Amino acid sequence: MGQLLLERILTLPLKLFGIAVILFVVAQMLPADPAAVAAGPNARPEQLEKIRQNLGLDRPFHERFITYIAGLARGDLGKSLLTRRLVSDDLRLRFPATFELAFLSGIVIVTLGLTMGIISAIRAGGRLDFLIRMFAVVGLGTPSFVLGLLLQLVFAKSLDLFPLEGRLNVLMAPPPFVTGMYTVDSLLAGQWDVFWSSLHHLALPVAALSLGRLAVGARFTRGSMLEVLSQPYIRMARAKGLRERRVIYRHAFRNALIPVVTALGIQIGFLLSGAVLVEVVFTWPGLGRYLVKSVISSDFFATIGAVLVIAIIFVVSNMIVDLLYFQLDPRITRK
Amino acid sequence: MSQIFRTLFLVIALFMAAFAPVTAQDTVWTGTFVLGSCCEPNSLDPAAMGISQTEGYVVNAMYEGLTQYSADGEIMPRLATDWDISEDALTYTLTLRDDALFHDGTPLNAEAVKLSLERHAALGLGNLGFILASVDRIEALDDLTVEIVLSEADFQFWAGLPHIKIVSAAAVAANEVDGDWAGDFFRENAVGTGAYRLVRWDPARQTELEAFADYWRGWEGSHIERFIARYGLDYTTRLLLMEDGEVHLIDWAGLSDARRAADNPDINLNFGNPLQGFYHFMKQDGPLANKAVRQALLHAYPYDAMIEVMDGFAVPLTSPALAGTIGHCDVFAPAQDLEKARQLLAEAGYADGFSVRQAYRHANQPRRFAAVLYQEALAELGIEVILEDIPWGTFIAAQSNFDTAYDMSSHWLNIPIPYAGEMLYRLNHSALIGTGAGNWAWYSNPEFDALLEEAPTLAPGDPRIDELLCEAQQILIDDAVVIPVMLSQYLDLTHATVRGYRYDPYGFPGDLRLYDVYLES
Repeated sequence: MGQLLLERILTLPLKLFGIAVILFVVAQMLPADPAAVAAGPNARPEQLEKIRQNLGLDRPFHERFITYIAGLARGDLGKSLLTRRLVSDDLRLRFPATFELAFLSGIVIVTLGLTMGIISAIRAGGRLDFLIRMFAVVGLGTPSFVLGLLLQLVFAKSLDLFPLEGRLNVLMAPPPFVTGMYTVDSLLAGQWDVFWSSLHHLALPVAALSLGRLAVGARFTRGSMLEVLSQPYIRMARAKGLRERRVIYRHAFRNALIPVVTALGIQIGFLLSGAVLVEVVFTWPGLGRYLVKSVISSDFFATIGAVLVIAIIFVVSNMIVDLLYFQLDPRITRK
Repeated sequence: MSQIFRTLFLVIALFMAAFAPVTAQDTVWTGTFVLGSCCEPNSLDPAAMGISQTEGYVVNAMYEGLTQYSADGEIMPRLATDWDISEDALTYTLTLRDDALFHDGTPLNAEAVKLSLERHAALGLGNLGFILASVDRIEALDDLTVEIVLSEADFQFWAGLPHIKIVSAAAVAANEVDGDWAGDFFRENAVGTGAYRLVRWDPARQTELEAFADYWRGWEGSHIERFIARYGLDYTTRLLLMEDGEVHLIDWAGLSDARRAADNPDINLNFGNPLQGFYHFMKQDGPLANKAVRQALLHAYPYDAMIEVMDGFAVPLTSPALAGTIGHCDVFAPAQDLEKARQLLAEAGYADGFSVRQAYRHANQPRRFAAVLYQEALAELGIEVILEDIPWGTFIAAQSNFDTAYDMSSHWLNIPIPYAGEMLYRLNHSALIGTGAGNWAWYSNPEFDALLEEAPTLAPGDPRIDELLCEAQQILIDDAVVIPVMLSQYLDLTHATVRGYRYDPYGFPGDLRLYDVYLES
């Protein structure tokens, strides 16, 4: 297990380097003028020229490539054309917002998804199973941004239970920056009002983001549980007279988890990229909105930086899934 | 006895005078004013500001220029109380007000003005740099007198000076790193003389300002105490927030927002003519190199249909220049005449039509409508228009090369100063060919260029400015290189509680004049 983990960690920079090279080459080949985007539609030629020089766009491709890669090796992702700040600073500001949203959604997906899947499998064919399956079909078939709008209309506009958008009450100052996650930072600073406000603001976006993936989790768990529950060793466990609760949780659930973990691992990775539309609907200043804006604006340093972060999350979440396999399936360790 | 009464009266008068809150009594703070904006500012530095309301709202509240425009376009005092312009229009001597303080407590002086202008010219980040292009040197004659000498007379300097903001010299000196003119500092901080000072900039979320207690105009009357500009709000969301009274101003409202606002008594629709026109360019290549063909296309444009599509929030352009700008004159009567167009095409040998590529920028309803309407109109003349919906960066990359440039394209163009020559320059001066910054018709006419180059060298108020620019406008219409389609109206929405707000066509859309705004409870 240690060797595999080491191997994954050591190959991570290589993977990221490969992604960065591909993105840089593609971005440079796109027929777009980043200087024009940075300058805006009313720029004068002398201003465009100055921006091209500042960005190094007047230098040959190989020079720009070497400069970028050398910077990347030092952890320098370059400067954003739009914000004129270091991309790493922009990401430090926006990534925590997305991570907070995705992390809480992940918790909802794992806890509720697994619970619903188990209940559905135990009560297979029953009313509860039918309801959960219907919920799963609706959840899978409703895009997160449509759900977001519906939640806004019902719970924010009509019932006035939750705020319509944003991360925090408009008159509230964000907590001192430690992690960038308002819930965590407000707790660290002991600012309870900020904590409750940020949690209150998280409710609807988390619900919008997690419902579809929650349905996936529930369906995977149900299918996997039904397959495991039909295995001879489960019949054996029951025949031994073990209590049903023990049969379900100790014998069936642990084995049913292996495919579920694979599916959920991928889902957690997708949560970050899937947050884009939810971020737009709920005015959530996160990585998704940053990425969309940078792509539309041909802000290629920002685009590469944001994609690299998402790539890291995918690689790390896959690594965690691998580690969980070791925990769940002793046969892998023995091999 | 009378002595006792007199003494008693004096004591009471002194007591009342001592405890009466003289200035505070006259100020009525009316709360927090919230702007719901679709977009996010990239910088708070006035030297990096372009013609964008996104930065404009906050930058204009925190900084001031030496002069300002009145509601009818006249240049008025602001930080400069008086000025003298030499007869050759090369030397401008300005006297500064002596009661203005920067937000860091330092007083406004000639050194700060000199440094601010030099800084703006050196950084060249925003698209207002051209305003100072002809400045040769700036001298601080004494603490409150500054002299600006131009290398050549340039009307655009005087017309654009209200947009050049003055920053604190002390803040620049304290925060300059490696000769960067404190660029990094001013990107995220602000030290101006404006009525509101920066409390917090939370990028991608909101900017918060508060009233600057020592503002030189004082705070008598009703004012807002805090201003919060919220960014990145989805169009539907900000309208819902305004309906709930959580947002007081929505900038750049769309036509659908305007329709919805019309049904809501709590929302007011404001509109006015900005310095922004919608134009259709024709690259001088292939069939479009033929003047008669271009004239035919000028006659074929569905002008009335476009105004209708805009729900009436647009007016026809009667010249390539914008109405209300200095030097504008009526040289064009927009009317669709397909018969005349057909006749001109036949004379040019294109009776069977031809095919052209047209680019338009996506994500903007009027641009799409304009492209489709014109496509349909030209189809009646046998001309096939292949429409391509492309983003701005891609468009500029294509337009910078004659071989890849589109045959036709349509755009909104803004100018920062009410001077017709500025728009004519952007439209068709040959210096812009291949730069991607304008003249997408690839038009080159030395006579036209010469007129535009001579006009700004005349002193402000010289009647020859009008003559030269009028001639230039006539040339563009005769040569049919650009189709002036319409002057669209800028729309924004305010909550019914907002008072003192007015749309200012001579400031930028973001020049909110926040000092005059207040909320009615």
